[in-house]
Amino acid sequence: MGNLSKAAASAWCLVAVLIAACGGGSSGDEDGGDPSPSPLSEAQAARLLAQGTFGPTRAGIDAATGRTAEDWVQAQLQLAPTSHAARCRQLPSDAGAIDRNSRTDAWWQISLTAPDQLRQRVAFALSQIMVVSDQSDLGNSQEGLCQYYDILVRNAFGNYRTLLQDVTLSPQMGRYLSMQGNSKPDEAAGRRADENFAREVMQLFSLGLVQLNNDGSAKRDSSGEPLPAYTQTDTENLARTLTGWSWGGSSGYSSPVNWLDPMKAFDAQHDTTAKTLVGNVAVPAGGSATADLAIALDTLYRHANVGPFIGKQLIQKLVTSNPSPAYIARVASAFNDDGRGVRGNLGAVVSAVLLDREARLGLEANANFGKVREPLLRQTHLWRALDAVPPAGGRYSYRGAQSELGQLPLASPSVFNFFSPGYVPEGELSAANLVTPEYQLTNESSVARAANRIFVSLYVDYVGNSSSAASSIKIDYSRIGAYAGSIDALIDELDTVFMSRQMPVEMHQLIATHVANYSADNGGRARAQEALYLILTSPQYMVQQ
Amino acid sequence: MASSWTRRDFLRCSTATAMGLSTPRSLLGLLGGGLAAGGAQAASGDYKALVGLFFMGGNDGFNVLVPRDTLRYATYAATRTNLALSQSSILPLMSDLPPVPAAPPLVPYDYGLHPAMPELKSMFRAGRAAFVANVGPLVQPVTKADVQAKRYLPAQLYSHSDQQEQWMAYAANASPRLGWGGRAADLMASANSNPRLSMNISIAGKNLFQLGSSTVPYTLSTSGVTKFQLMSGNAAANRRMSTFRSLLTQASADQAFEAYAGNMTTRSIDLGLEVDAALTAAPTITTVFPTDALGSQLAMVARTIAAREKLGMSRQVFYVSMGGFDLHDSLLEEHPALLASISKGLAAFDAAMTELGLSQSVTTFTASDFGRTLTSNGDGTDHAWGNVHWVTGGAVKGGQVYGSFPNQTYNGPDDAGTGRMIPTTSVDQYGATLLRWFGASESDLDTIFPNLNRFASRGLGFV
Repeated sequence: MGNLSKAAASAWCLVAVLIAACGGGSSGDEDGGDPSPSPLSEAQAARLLAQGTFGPTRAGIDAATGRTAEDWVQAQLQLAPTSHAARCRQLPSDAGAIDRNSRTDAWWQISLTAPDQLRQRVAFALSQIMVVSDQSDLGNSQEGLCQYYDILVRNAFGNYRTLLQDVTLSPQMGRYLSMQGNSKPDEAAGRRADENFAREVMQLFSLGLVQLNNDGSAKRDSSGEPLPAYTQTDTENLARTLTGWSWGGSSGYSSPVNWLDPMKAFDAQHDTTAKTLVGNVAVPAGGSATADLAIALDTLYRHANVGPFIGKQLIQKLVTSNPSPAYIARVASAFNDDGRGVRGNLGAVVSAVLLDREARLGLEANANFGKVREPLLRQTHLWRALDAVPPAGGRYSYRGAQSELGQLPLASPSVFNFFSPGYVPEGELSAANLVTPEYQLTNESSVARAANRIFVSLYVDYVGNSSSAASSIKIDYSRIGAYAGSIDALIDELDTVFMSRQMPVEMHQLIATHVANYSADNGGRARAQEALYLILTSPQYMVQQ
Repeated sequence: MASSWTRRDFLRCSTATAMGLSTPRSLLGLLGGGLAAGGAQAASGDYKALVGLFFMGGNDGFNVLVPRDTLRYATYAATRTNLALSQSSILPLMSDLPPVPAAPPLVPYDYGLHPAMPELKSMFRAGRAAFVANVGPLVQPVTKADVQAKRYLPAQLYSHSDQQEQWMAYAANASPRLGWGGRAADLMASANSNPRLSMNISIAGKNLFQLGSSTVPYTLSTSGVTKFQLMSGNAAANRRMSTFRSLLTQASADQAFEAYAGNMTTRSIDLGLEVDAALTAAPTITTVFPTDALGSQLAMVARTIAAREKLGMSRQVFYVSMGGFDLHDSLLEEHPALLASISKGLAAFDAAMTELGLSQSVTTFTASDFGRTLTSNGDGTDHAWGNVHWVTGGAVKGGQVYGSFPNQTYNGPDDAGTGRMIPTTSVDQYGATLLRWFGASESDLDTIFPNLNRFASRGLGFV
């Protein structure tokens, strides 16, 4: 789609908005969630894969073209999960330890090559919602972190209630937000329950800060102030409810540290007094740690905020930063009831996110449609689309992500992730009140670092270059280079796999003029490099629409 | 330092007391003379910089500055229980005399410092550091009754993300979200001769504090400017750069999402060349900085200040940050290393400013999400509100504790509940004191801190 057609789409949408406004405000449901199922064009297939995988590949686009979006999603929902812990354990250090390289090499390999791409992409999104980080003593067990990631992979299409419990009882979350070893209060010693997990599980993993309508908008009091979702007293009471959990397996309450088994209940350390949770849910006196945990997690799971709160974040992570309220409401409704009376079916939520008309129509449905590609996903996209191969031995050993890309799975600075879902950058976006979470990582320094990483990926680390380090992941120019005899054909192919055929015509022309300075010799590599460098460092590519 | 109470010690402590609630009226008469004697000298040239250190996660400031006089220490220890620092371990700040077994105002206010911060103690004793007690976001002064009635409160108290924003934003509940460092730069931009480079420079990425309506902070990494490889040095690179710039121009005219990245990238390229050249030409600083995360950020601030003339800057606001303070667990084990890093980093930075002849011209201040509960949750503390902060630099009227140190009694008059101290100094008052020194006019301050007039004083006079 060129600039002209993008503008036309915006104008169309403006008309649509005006009509809706004159009609008194439609709930949006009359438009339905799914557009009528029709076979995907090549460009539509590429768009869907940009939203639902770690980056479209030529083979992936060919396989999806001609099928419906629903078919593709359904097929992905059926694929067996690829385990990070299993792969991680196959990649020990020379000294035999499962270290950080084991974990991240496994992550790159699975993200780049596993067939269950949608599941892995959703797990990656969840890893930025239910955040733990190895920038803490969790780094003492990278194997444990691989297992934590598997919780997200395993439950990506499962039920939110199970996900919430598995995360809550994981030793990683237990230690990261200090529910592990959270003992019942002792007034004589002046000791309270630890509020850390209790607060963040509500603020970040389930409810959010304010009471929400199903469309994600805040409920407000009579003076227009948003109503808080919970009070400090709710936090304190949840903290007491979640006392009495510590290391699992055969460990005792305090030791030894056990990073691999789920936490287990120690009822002697559990506060058995009566508690009242958010929404006035009673936890009766005398309950065990396990029984009280069930009441607590059920309370959060049943809260009306979860559908819009988690649903909106999944939309933002996969599809668009500023979804319409109607889109959020449709996704939240899928959370509330998957059509078979089940609440919290994440497979149904993910389907609703990707198959919604707004997701499929993009700018034609919402003039503010689009999201910024996050740094890790730009790197996976580059390697997937350019047929990257691992070094001899098969380890996908890229270890520079944290310093070069400013992002690494399970390594954010705090439980608030690398960027906030509500981040509004300055200038025009602020004036329009548009969030672009991923831009929180974008500054004068990071754009240059990112460009320099792209330079290395394109001009140094390719198959056949003797100056590329033996341990590098290398792209293979043989397929892309074959297009280079025709500059337009080359740019069109890159437009398809990287920009879902949305490259503005002026951009195509600029790149073509530049590439014409290079010959098609050496398998077309120089032409491919020049075109790729300009595309992948461009703001036009940075925004996924 | 004198081993007995001197008149100067007494004056310092009484100045601190002047900000307290229970000031003997007779001491106020002495106060004026003490402050006048400690007035700042003229700055070198006309250069001033403010350096904000943000401790992400909520620093436990009430284990940084601890009452040392025996009765107040006993209250502290009773509320902190197993997390109290021992009275013998804290570094004596006001004098080296043994703690006095009474409480102010019968005896001078006495304080000790966390044992991991000897460098900060030396700066305090040299009059180059001051503490400000019980600062936090407020929309207006509040009493315990207000807190219990949930009125006049900042939104979402005790939430990390919200209270970070309230510390950085120019008014606790304002929208749009702009920072007080950014609003100051908006109003004072004409002070700098170079219109291309922002007054506000971040060594720690995006932040609300430095964002104004026309001010966008410029980000440096700890190694300086990150240059685009492959974009200069030969004909092919120049051609590539030329095409790239045309793409950026196209993007800047496109949808807002793309325009933002286009403008950011253009700024990165253009300013990168200019700033890099200035940093390269600047005098080398010989002061050795710690190589940890904070030390390297402060070293980069110092390098940038050294390049101020080439950069055409006479007013600058810097942002550095440090994480790891959310110590719900292992407070006594993990806090000391964080505080040691701060103490060493600040001392190196202070020495570097003296080396540059800017001893009177650069002031650093601390900020953090919130203070922490005085009470223990086992081996750590939870989110609270009022906190202890500190300012350093030659212009600081140091050796004193400003503000009103709270009554640390459990469920006492200053406790919002379970040892959460109700702030008695607002971020607005703290910021206004800093920005007044920086050169903001009183009317600027009313613009930057619209709620400032709701508080009894418009500043604390610590710099």
